[in-house]
Amino acid sequence: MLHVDKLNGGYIGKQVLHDVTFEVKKGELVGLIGLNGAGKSTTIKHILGLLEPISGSVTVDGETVQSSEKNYRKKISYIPETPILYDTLTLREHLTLMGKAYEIPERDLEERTGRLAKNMRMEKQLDWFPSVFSKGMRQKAMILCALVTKTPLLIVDEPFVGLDPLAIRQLLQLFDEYKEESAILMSTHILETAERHCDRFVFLHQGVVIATGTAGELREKYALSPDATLDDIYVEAIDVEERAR
Amino acid sequence: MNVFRTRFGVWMEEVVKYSRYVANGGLLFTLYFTLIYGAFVYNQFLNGLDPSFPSEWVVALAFLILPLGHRPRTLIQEADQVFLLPELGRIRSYMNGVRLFNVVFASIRALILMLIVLPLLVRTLELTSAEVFAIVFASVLLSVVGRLSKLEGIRFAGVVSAVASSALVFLGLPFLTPLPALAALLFLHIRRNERIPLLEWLALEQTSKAQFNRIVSWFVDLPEMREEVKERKLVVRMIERSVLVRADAARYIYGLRIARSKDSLDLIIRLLLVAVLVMWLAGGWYVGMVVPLFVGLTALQLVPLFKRLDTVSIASWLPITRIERLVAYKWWTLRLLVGQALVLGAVSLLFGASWDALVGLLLAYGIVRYYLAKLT
Repeated sequence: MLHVDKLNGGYIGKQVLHDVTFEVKKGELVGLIGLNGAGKSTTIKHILGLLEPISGSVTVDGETVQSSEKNYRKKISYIPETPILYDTLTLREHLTLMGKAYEIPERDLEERTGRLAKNMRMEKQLDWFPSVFSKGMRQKAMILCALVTKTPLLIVDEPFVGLDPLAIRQLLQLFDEYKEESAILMSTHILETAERHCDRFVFLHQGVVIATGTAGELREKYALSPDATLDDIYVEAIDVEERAR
Repeated sequence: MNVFRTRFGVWMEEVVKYSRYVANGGLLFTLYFTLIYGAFVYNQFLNGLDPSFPSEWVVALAFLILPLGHRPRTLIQEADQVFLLPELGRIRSYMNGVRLFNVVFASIRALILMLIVLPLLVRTLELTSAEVFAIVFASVLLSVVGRLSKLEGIRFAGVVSAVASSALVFLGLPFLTPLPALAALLFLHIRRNERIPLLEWLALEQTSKAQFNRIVSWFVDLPEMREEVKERKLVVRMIERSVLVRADAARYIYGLRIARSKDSLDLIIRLLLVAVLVMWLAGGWYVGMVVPLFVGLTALQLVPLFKRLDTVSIASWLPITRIERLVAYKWWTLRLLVGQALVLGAVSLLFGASWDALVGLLLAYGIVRYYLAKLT
């Protein structure tokens, strides 16, 4: 579903990503793991088409941002780390906006809105303006807006920040449902949760992909015991990489 | 280190920086033209003024207005909630600096209003120079009381003294009008804050800064701005049924924003009312030309809003291209401005316009097109 191929990119005068290559298949939840400044957000910005790559390509369901910006974007929904909502639109109107932007039939939108709002315990807040939302509610609103689209690719940046334990559990359940028809790329620092829910991992370090695979494959790669956690694997991966440089 | 002096220095730098943009903008021409036209029309109005004109009412109204609508600056920053906290009880000089700073602002506001009202007073009321001075002094004090009462968090001090001063005007005692304001000032002094009410002053600063940014944004892009939102169920329901239900995503966002934000629909209505007032004052003198003037003033403020919205919106990653957003914003702006021009054109006919109404409308359309063409 998502193919990132030899992506070199970053900001004007500062290359951050070096030959980044990975893929996320339909039915997969892939964790994008890295230290602060590893290039996770830059990778996501490139996938969203907000940054121009120096070289390499990003393909989503066979479409690139260069071939058709609109069609490309229709294939991606995004939950940012910091919620960004329109002050002038209620949550329900945000969902209507998503329906219009992603051309979702009205009946489908209504059905999905009702179901998701119930799951995320946001039914009462549907007609509220974001200015009265708590931090957690804003995050939930962003999640609703993204999940209602049912795009082939969902990109999630640190989704658990600001959510209560119940909401985290519900979100993970929704991710499990969502990935049946789609692919999910999730950037997170909460490795314990990632280990339990992600199908595969992409370790990013200083703009370079240093390892990819399932937890089992990564344990094998770094010769770690079967009970090694994702934390252990990640620390080992960074150590090996630092020693090699 | 004197915190207030440092903050004041930063504020001055900001004002100078943005003044340069404002002064360089060709758009200032519209404002100059409006002021000159306004002054001319006011002079015409004064020349034809009947001595029985109820100037006392105007003074009373001015007294009532002066303490209202102040947005004091406190120069408090969000980080002060952490870094200024240990010093709150000790920085009295900062509080006094802020008070003085706001006294100057309030005085300027009162003097500007009095510059407009005074010619009216001297022509219609028999006042001694001491009484005129007392009225001006009272207006300055009332404005200061209004502003300081917000800083000290004391409600109604300004309104109560304004009502008392207005009553003294009607009682034929203009010489005594400063007394209620002085009493209110004394009351504010006694009840003043001994330490900075951090959250309240932060909220005041943010509101005031947002207003400053709004004015600056007419001339230069300032993407990071807070919006004031009103629900406006009736208006939204009306446009929902007629336009929004069929609108694409970009028109949907902008339609709701225009209906609810205080700097779109409110702006149009506000300027429309001022334009009608100017037409009334002009007494039939080329009233049709008021139309392009005020449509231009509206466009000057409305059109640059797009850049602000465009930068802060989540639309950057949604399947809504920038061209679609641009087209949608132009679509709404064109209809709003043309609507405003047509309403003003019709009103100008009521105030005696003839051929100038048509010329005014054509000019207004040209101005709207000019501003929209600049939006790329």
